[in-house]
Amino acid sequence: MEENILEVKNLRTHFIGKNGKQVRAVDGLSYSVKRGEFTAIIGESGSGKTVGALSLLRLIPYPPGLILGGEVMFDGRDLMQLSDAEMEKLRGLEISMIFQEPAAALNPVLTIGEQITEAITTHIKMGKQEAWEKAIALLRMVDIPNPEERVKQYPFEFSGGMQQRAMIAMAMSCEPKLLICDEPTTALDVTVQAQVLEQIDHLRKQTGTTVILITHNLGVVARHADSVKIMYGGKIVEEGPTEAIFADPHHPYTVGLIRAVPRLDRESGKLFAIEGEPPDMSSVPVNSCAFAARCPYADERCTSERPALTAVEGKHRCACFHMERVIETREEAAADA
Amino acid sequence: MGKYLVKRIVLLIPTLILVCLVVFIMMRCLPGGAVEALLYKLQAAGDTTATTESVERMLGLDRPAVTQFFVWLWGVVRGDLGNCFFQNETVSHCIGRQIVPSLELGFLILIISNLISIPLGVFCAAHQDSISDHTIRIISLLLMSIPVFWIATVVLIYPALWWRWAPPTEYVHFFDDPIRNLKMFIVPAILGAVTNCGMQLRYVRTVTLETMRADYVRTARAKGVPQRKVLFHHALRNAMLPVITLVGGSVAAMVGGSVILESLYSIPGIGALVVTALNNRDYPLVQGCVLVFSFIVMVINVIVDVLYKKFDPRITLE
Repeated sequence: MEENILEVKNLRTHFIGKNGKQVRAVDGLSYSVKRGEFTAIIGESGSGKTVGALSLLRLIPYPPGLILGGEVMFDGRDLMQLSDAEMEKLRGLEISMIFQEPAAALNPVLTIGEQITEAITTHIKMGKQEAWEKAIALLRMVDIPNPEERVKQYPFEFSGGMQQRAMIAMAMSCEPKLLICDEPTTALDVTVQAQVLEQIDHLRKQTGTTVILITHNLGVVARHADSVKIMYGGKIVEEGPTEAIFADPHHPYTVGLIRAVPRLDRESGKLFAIEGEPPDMSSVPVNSCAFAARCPYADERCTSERPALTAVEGKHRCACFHMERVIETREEAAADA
Repeated sequence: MGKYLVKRIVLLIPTLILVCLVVFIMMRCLPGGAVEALLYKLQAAGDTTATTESVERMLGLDRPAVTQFFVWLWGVVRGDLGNCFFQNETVSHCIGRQIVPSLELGFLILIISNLISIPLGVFCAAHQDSISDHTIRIISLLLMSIPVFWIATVVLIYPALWWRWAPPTEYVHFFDDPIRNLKMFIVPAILGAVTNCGMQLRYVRTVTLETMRADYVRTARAKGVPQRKVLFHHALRNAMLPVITLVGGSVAAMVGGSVILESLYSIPGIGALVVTALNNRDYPLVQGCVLVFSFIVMVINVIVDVLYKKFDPRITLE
């Protein structure tokens, strides 16, 4: 269980605009994921979390996106070194992905059954009838009622939650070693969100699949994830076991994120927000902390040197020069409240 | 489905009656009249007894307009489109004779232009911004901008000057002598197709590019589906939906015939017929032609809608 199934090292994916402007969407991303673990990657829109995930599968559309370098060791192989054909074989079989907005991610003119059986027969030699039976079984597994009839229907005949569950069935059809869920609940109702995540977690426990959940929903993370990685400006700024991150955040951005979650158990007036806007990764200097522009602790060092991830305690690591001051202020605020 | 078709076909009737009324009124509103033209023609032929009144009576134009309309409409209902003013034949016969070459030309243009535009459009989309993509797009833009009459004239004159070759000018029915018939039609058909396909090629390229960027295409790629199959199975199936509408529209345009190509290549088609009939103010002939055009366009629309349902399960025909 302690073995890493995925090790990403210094992954860099840039988008090159027509005017030659380079946006460093993923800017030296490094992390590792243990086999069987439920890992959450958290970040706001534009933090590079989706691009980072798509880069793993080499699904970045070129142009304008380009993976400039880095290493993605998956189960002993560097995915960046594989041929296109090898990569095609791996997608869906060993690494699957679930996307946000299932209504757009499913092909509108093919039946759910056709789309699931395609996922199966692409990788596994199987008769049409057998694959169809398997598709029905998969739909049953994700709790879609009356799967024998539903399998013949088109995506538009499914509700949002059912579409996403059909996506999960499709992604799990070849029992992948790694399942990447890119904001799987963004377009869904709150109650359906919980069901879908419950489903993913349940399947993970059943099959032993490693799960990476990309989200900006901290509530979701606290409930399901074993470990958390906070992403900002195309790289990880803090990572560690879920409890450690929530109880003892060290990065000013993590502190801000947690404070920004509305609490029902506390009397509070205005919602807290982190000042400023997500960074424009074409103009932030390479040798600086991407968060510096919005950070209350930022000083000269933050704009001239990029902080590296350093161990805080055990597996908890954080990339900030001012961790002591962050904790001081955090404890003072806690004492005031 | 069957119920829907019946409903659509029944709905054609009031539409056609409206077309009848509009074209009837528009014809009567045109300045100048058939009577003067025919009178002049008769007098020139040495008929001294002909007067305005007698010609009017002969053409049935002495009766009130409302009566004229209903007499014509009643004829249409019975399948009788009336008689031509200037030729000694019925309108149905005249149209039936002239529409066959036009339909043949239109059909050939349609097939050739789709055979060019759809594969090349998809090819350009699949190789976006490559040299071949740019070349094909520049050529298509060029073809879009060249007027048909100019290129058709050039293509007619130069082979004749250089090699003493010209397509046959005498129309033979396809089933009588297919080779001779195609010899006559192939050049104008290619010209029509080439000038027509530029726009469609660019459109096919755009919609294919759009669908290639769609989320479901990314999903298919994430499933490990090979690139080629993603393009044909996922992207193209969706891209063809708007293309069907476009092709349906150009079918409708073809029916009207290409006056320029028909007259340059001496094809006895309906385009030239309508122009002559309009100049002569041959009321029944123009009315008949317009009615036939509208009928064909309406039928094509029904066919396109039904095809749409075939390709897009989201459409329900009600």
